[in-house]
Amino acid sequence: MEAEPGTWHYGVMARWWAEFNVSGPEIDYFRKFLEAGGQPALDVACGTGRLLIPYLRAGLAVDGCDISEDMLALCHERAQAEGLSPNLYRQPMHRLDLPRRYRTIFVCGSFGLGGDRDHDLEALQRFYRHLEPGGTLILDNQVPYSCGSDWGYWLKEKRTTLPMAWPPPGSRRRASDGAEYECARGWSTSIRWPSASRTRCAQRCGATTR
Amino acid sequence: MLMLERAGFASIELRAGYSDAAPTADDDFVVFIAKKPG
Repeated sequence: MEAEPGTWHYGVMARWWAEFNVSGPEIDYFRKFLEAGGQPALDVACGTGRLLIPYLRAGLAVDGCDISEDMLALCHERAQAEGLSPNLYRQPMHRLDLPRRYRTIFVCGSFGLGGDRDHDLEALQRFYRHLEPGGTLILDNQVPYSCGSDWGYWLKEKRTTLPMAWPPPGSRRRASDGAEYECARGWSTSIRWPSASRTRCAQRCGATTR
Repeated sequence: MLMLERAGFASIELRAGYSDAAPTADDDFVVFIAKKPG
C-alpha cells in the first residue's frame, strides 16, 4: 500500500490529454445521475476536466480530484478560461480525504489504473465514507476480455514478439497553441508463469512547438 | 461486486457501458452503480 500508483498523466502527456481528450459518450451518461438529485458530486480522477468542465458549465455542483498535479493545473486553466472556479484536490483515490460529503461520486476510466488490489479496496472504502447516506457511487470498468489481442501474449511464441517496437512517427495533431503533438503506444511483457503475468503498455508523447 | 460489498455498498447494479441496458459479452465497458445504505 505504500507505493504510489504509477500513472502516465504528467507533462506533455497531460497537455495531450487536455487538448484532444475532450469528448465521449461518458459525459452525457454520468451527467444524468447528477441531474437526477445527485448533487453535490465528486469527479474522482477528473483529469483535465473532460467531464467536470461541461458539468460546471451546466451549473452542476461538482468537485474534482486527481493524482496528477499536471492534469489538475490544466483543468484549472480550462475552468478559469470559462470563468469557472471548481474545488480541485490533488489526492490519489486511495488516500481520498476531503472536507465534504457527496450525493454522487463517479469515477470515469480511472478505477484500478496504476495501483494494486489493496489500493482499489481502500479507494472503495474511502468513496463509501465520502458519500452521504443513500448516496451513489458510479464507476466504469473496461472488462479484461475487451482487448482480445492481448491474450495471445500468454503463448510463448507470441511473447517472442515483445517488446514491440515503437511505431514510426507520423500521426501528429495540432493543438490550440499551434504546437504539434504525437502520442505513441508500445507493449512489452514480463511473464512469470502461471500467476504473475504482467503485460505492460507504455505510452510516450512528444511536442513540437512553432 | 465483491469488493464493492466488502467496502459496505449495497444495491449494486451492473449495466452495459454508457447505456441503461443489461451488460452482454460483447460489451467492452461496464458500469457499476452502488448505493451507500441510507
